[in-house]
Amino acid sequence: MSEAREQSMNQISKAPGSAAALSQSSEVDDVIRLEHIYKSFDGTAVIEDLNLSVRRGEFLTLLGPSGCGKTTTLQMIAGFETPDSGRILLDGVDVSGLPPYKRNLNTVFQQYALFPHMTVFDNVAFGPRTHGVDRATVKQRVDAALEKIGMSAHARKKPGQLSGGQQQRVALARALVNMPSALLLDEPLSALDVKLRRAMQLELKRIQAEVHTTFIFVTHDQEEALTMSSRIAVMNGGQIEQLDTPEVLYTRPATPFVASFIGQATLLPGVVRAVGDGLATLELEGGGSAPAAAPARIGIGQKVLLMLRPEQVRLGPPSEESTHGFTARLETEDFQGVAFRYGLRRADGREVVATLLPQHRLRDVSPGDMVGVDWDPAQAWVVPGYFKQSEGKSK
Amino acid sequence: MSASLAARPPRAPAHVPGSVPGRFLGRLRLFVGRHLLTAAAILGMLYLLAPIAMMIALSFNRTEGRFDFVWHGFSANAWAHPFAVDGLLDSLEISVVLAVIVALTATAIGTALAYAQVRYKFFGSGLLDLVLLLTISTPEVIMGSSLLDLFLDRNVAPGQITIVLSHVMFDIAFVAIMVKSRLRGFDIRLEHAAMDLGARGWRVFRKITLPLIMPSVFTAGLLALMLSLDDFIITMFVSGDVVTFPLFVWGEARVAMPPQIYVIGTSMFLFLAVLLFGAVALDQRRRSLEAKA
Repeated sequence: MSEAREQSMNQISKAPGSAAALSQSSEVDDVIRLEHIYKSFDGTAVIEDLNLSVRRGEFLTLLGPSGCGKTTTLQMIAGFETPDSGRILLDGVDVSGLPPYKRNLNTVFQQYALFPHMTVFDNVAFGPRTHGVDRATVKQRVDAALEKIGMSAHARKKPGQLSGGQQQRVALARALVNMPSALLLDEPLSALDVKLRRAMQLELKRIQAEVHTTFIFVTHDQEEALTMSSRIAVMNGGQIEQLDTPEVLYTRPATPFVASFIGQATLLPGVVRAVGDGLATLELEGGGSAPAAAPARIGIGQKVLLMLRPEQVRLGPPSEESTHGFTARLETEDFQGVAFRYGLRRADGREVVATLLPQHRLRDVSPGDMVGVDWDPAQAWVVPGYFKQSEGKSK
Repeated sequence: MSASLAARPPRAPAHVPGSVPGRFLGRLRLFVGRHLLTAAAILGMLYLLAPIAMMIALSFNRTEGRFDFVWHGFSANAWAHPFAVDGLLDSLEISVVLAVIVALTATAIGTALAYAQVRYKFFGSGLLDLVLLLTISTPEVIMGSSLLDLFLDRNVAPGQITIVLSHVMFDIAFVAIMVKSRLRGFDIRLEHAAMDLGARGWRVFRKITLPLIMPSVFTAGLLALMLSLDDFIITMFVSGDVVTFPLFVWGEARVAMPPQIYVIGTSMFLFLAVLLFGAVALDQRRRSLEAKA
């Protein structure tokens, strides 16, 4: 895995449309830049050579499994943690050594951290009052902030009297009222139940669009990240694996980790046999010829992975004359509401997952039968890097 | 579910009923087992409350002559004239004034110490824990005599100042330990949030931390007040010719106790009990608010 990551890290900077390439050109309007950040706790490296540019006004999500360093990264931006080395620039000024109260940033904490002994109004007013804003202006700004999140009617209540969703809004208002350069959100929706969570995701997105403030959002929930973000930085092992729009991450992942972490994917190892026109043809391990779109850097003879999203897979009767694709044995068929989900297994034991809309549902086939597996080469994607066989089989 | 139950044949009795006395013993054992804890709790409470009940009862004693330890019958005379004993009011005044000064000083220092120890890492913090425990666990007689030595050695005349210095010293330890336990349960993210909103150390403490731990600080202050008001042994050594209330009581008790002393004792008990209950209730409310937010 680590070699794969190293390999993929090299590719990120060269892959077209990737973050590193873009950040060169938009350097001027970066709100926050992290340069070569290292951080370790008790001798264990948590962040290793992290570089990140956050553009003004964007909704950027740091996404990754627990322990990937996303929260530590956010806390270093906020000033609650200090990097061991590297620089943090806020609006072009190095703030690496500054305490939180000297950074024009505000955080929405995981459990909101509202002040329980103060009213909603006083909670929101805490920031402006601390900064010495005069009484009339404080009232005007707090009222406006509460209005924006629809909490004006609750200004006199204490946080303990509010529901989780309402507390969430107050936490948001308390941060936004300070007009920060960027708002940092540390898994702010994780305490809410699923339904409220979906609603708050949309509301957060709406508010972000309305106030034009840069949001840096931390989550481990890839669906949440895909829904809300303008760009996502996928983190793993203390580094950013890929930073791009949700759509690019989903359709054109740069590393095996990104491919498997975001959405569902079948990843099959193979060797590149031919390249050209943005397409590569793989010879799959265990048999089968597989054409798929590929990054420019892919070369003949390279060991790579073929990524097939379940909805890209086409199933049909096994055919002898087909020049690409392969056959697999149908194992399971499940109805999932919008689609049918098929579990297939190749002769070499690797699993393939397909989802078909009801109108494309396979007739006359039942578990145990052989099925032809096919796809549109322009949609399938070659992921640089390589899993070991055991890893490739899982998922 | 109900169908399967209905289909099952009637259940045979689990055991053959024993003899009547056997059954009685079984029930008794069950009864005792169930109520033993309650009984023990009630006994324990009685044991703890007996001296207080005795004190309240004696405050209504109808004394023959001025002083007596023996119950002669009910009278509210002592309550009608609580200060009708020479020197009682003076000693009480001295004790109350000193205790208030001591409690305020010790609470301020103890709280600051607790905050420093819980929030910051500094050299000697662990040693400080040990010193606090030592202060509490050192026998008062030894503490008192060594304090007197210290004051005499420094040419400080025993009196009100030495009483305050000594009381503040042992009260700090109690306050610090109580406030520390509250601070350890304090949600640090609230302080982070305040810093995030631009507040520095002192403002964070004054606006966020202190209001939330106030009930505990208040309780600790109350304890400091009681300990000072009540202290006899150390005070005896360092008081010089100042007579505090406990010293006055000691002097009286060598002859016989006027019921007025029980009146003062009962009043203090009631006053402090009300304050303490209030503080505990407030603390629980604050904590539950904090938990919900």
